[in-house]
Amino acid sequence: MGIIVRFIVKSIFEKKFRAFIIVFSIAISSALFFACSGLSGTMSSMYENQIKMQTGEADIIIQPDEESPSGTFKIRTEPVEGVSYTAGSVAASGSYKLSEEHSDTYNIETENLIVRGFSMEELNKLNPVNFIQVAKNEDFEGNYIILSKIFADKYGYKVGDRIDIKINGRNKILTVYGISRPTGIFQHTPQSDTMTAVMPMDTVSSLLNVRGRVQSAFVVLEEGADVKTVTGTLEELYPRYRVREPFSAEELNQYMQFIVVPMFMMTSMVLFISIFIIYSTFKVITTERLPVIGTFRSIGATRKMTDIVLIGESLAYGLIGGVLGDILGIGVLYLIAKIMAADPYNGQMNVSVKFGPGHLAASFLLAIVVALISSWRPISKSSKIPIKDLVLNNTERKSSNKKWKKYAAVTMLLLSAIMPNIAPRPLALFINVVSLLVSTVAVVMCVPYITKYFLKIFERFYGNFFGNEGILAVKNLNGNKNILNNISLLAIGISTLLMINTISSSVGIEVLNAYKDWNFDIMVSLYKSDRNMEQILRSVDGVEGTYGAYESWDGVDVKDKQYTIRYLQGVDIKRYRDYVTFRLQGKKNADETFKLLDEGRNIMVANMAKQRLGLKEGDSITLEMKSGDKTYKVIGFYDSIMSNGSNAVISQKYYKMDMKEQDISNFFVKTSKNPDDVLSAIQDKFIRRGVFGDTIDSMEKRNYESNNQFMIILQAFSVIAMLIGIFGVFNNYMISFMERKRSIAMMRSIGLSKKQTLKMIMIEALTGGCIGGIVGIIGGTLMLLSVPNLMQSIDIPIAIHYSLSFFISALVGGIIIAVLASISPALKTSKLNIIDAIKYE
Amino acid sequence: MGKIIEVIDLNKTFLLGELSVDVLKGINMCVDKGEFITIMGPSGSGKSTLLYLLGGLDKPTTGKILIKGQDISALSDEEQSIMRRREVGFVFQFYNLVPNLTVEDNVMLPLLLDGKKINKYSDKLNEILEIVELSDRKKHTPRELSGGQQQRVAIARALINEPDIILADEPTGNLDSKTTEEVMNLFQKINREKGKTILQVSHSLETAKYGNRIVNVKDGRVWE
Repeated sequence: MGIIVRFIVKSIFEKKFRAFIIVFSIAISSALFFACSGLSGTMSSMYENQIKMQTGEADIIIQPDEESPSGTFKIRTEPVEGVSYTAGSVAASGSYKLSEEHSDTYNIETENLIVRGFSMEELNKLNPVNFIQVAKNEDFEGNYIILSKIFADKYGYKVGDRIDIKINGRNKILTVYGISRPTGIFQHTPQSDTMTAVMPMDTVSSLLNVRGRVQSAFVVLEEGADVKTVTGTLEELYPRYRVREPFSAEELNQYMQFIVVPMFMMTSMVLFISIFIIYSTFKVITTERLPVIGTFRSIGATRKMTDIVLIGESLAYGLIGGVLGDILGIGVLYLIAKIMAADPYNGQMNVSVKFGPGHLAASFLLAIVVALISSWRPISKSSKIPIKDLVLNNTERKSSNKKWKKYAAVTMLLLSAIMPNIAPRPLALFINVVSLLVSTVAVVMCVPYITKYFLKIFERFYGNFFGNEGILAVKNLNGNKNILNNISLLAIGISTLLMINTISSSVGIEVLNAYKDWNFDIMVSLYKSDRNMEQILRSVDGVEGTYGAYESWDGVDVKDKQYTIRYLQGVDIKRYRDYVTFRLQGKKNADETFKLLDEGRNIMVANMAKQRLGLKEGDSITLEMKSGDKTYKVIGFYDSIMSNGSNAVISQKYYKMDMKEQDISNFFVKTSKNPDDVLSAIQDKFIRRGVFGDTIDSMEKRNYESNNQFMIILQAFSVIAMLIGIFGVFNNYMISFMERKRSIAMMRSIGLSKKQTLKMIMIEALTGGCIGGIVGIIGGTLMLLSVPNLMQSIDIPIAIHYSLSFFISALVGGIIIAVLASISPALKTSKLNIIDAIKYE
Repeated sequence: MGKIIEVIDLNKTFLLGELSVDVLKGINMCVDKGEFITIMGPSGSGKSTLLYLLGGLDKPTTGKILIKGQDISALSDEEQSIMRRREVGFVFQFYNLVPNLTVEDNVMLPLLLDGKKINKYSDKLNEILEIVELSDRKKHTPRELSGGQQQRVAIARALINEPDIILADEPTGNLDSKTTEEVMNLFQKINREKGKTILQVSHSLETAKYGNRIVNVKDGRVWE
């Protein structure tokens, strides 16, 4: 046993680069798997911590929403079973004008603050303030303010100092009551924009003219109380207000699905490349070991014993790769969490990774399985060689022309193209992911045939381009397994990179296009909005025009279809298209089609919803609306990715009736001045009513950032796939050099000069890179063709925008990688000792 | 007949680790055009080294090798390569064919390396393949041929550029007696009919009989 272990260890250390590539491939695959499997838990924990910072001990939160009659409400005094206490809070926007000195230093004139009103007694129970300094023997009442340490340090405030803060447009002189560490509700990171300050509840509510009322109620339950039951009771007590848990693991898990599924897909691509590299490397390892195996067998070792030597080597790589993969995985998970922590919608979160022994064990196990599976076939093949052939070194592998491979590859390609289109909904995601992988495997299986075809073409004109060295290079490439492996590795890496880059840019273009369709600058939501309110809104300085939109973002179920239209609009057929570009499908006249909306219960459905519901013009669908089930006739379809394409348009008249909704949901506002300034003016004007609003630019920016954040991670995964591929290509060129030493020495003996050797190998690399790039483009395009289906299966519609520059980059990239990888072997080849190479194998 | 090869005070020293081994010690010899010489000697005597030096595959430590009056050790890599393409044809014990090329591709290699348009040489190829009796195996790869056939491909490759000198390193060392006879008859035919100068390294007196001169190499020196 000791001898076997020593032999394995010695074998691993003999070929360091080869061992590095195997371990690296295993470790990266296992690390990415670890990161993917731990991401949901990590993000849940981060979101939970982030929310807990703001909501403290609260188990339930009550807040107004767009349906509420007012932006504030009174906390009910009657006892509720299971509730320990309820803390109320109001919030106002504040701004602090910097001194000239500070203004010069920080290059801003004002520092924005969120001023939250709390009773100290309630706040201490709910989310205790972590004071660094606090006023002694003073009650937290009147014009006091608690600042965060970051703010106080930045602008030089201490307890007892006076500070001028403009709150909701009114200047207030306040006294610093305390300085808090930047934790809890004072949590602030340099990346987030706005700091928090706390003032007495009564003072803030007086400033807002809402004394005795709150904007948020934080409910803490008694131990053992059931959250769902109490939520139900509170929903009855606060009918038209939103009663919810601060953190919904279920919602987050659903959201994380969108992120984790593509990541797992990329991990499987990396895994595929790794298996391919380990498999081809183990083929070389087993070939090299055959004489030793022959010796072992001839002196009495059994087949099982020699197999153990090779399996042991594979297992050793798996074990090392597994340990490194776990360590690396924690790092990768941390990095992903760090990128995701800068959430454009929820602010900067504290980064903390969460994983358990199960995660570590699973990725460790994966490393071992990858190592064993990848090396199994070369080991089993070498194991079957008769002892006589081993001893006589008669082990050359005959290449058999396996026609079935060609047919299998074509069948797999066809299946991967057909299956996603006919997959039943519940299996769609699984079938799409499998199809994507199958198409990649099929492309790799096609590589020898595609290469052969290209070489035939190249052979015709290479003589004129590169002279006879070009013809020789093509002849050398024909059937060269290492070059075929390189082409496959380049193809997988390039196609993965091409796919992700194209998706990333397509998402960017789609987001841009979606917001381009909104021909207004601000979206504002006010409580209880009607036409009077719209008149007041129009009087705000800078407001050029308004459109009162009747719309529901909560979703309307389609009866008997297990489908929810997420975004339903009731449109004013005369004015809607002044504010939104409507892309009606087909050659229908938009004016006439819109007129039809008002003539009855007619509906236009977005294409994504059309596909999901299998609709055609003239069909009827029944919507489960607030006034009961209503049947609408489908009169047209349009392009829109709002709510991931799950949207529909009906007439405003019928919307009001069927949704029992008289209030305007949102105002689309066109401005004649800077939209940010106009939004501030609107907020000032409607502060007492409670106003939600955002500029379209800012919504677009946040959406872009949110997508970009995710795309960066996927791009990083694809770069890793490419990186492993590049290592594999370098390794293959070295293997190819070793294997071709004798052939090249023979050519040198019959007159091939060093210069010709270099030229020939460079042409081989150029050709291999070029074919790798072309196959990569074919593979990438095939993958991209199946991406819309795949994304649709997780309800994300995406139109792919192909970019010529990406295709050219893929081709050039393939050539550069192959040429760079061949420089070292080419130089070595040109310097090889002809006699040694010819005489000794 | 004129001298085609002249060896003057040829020495070759190898470094084996820190040990320096004098493989060839002051060799002087001449080869006339059209001779068929067998270089014989025990293992490690330096006979193969001498052959490789004559073919320009290695450089002498000191001394000169003149091929058609030109000192090949003074040539650049490019010039030496051209000399190997045009003046010398090599045949090795293990054939050294390129496994993934067909018989015709293997035979045409020296022409390709010499920058010639190979489609103009199809008649020549056919003629040579006829001489080596492999006309029907043109499209086969070396894997599909027997040892004797592979060696005949190697001989055809050595002949395609019509060099005046054929150097063969134990060309029958890997063949059975019947195939050895076939290959040696072929060499003899090429020597007699085409007038090629042949130098072969061999352990076997049987194969030496096909030539017309034997050169013995022992302890790095030449004995005739």
